[in-house]
Amino acid sequence: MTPFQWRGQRLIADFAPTEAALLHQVVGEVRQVLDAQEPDTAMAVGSAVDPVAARLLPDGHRSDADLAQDYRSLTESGLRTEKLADAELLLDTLRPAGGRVELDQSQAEAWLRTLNDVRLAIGVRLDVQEADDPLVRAEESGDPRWSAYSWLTAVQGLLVEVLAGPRARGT
Amino acid sequence: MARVTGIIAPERTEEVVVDEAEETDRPWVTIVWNDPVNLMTYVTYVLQKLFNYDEPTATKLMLQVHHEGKAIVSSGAKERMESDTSRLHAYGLWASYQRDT
Repeated sequence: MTPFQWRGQRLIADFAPTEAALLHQVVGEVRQVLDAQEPDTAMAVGSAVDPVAARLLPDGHRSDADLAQDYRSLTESGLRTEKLADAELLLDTLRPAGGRVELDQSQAEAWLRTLNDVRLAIGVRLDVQEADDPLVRAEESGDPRWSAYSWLTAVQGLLVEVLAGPRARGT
Repeated sequence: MARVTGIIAPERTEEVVVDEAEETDRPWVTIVWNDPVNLMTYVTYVLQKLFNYDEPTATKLMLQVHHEGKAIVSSGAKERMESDTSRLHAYGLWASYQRDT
């Protein structure tokens, strides 16, 4: 891929076919996890849930089960809907065969959140630790998910950098 | 784990006696917890974006999360802390709210 760059009000980047295919696969998988949970009941505090779903829709309160349940009834459905909409937006703005992506600010924010969700999801499956160097782990384990994780980290890093940095002027 | 020393929350001394009134008057806080996945630059960006912190303040809070395991990022009424927690969850930060200790 080419790093995201401002062109006027839009962020531009180009993705290779393999990169676009990877993004479609992992974002699609996260969407499935979010879709698989029944609103309000499946994530009830203390019940067995997919650890990925538990990380994407975490408890709001750590020690008080009643408060945690209140928080869930209040926010979970909305959060799930937002996360699914973010994932859809990424899939809609990136052709599966790759090519140019053009995003306005709010679309770029949706990409950012989804890239983070995808990394959180893979992080749960791989049990990523602070000290892990994904590239070293990729080489040692031969597990392609570590390479994917490492690449997704780089893509998200580039997007944060350009969104947080000084805005380019003109076209 | 080290005691939370909030940068944003006002300093207060240890309460030895907690009566009923103080119990209900104590403010609520939103806490961001350390997570091995979230990028440091991303956490700083999200804190600036959601709470309008300037870059040095957001960076300081991010580093507190990173080094001490958690940081108080906002304090106030319970409903607002629920809302702040939910906005942080939308960005994938590991957050929770509780009554200030």
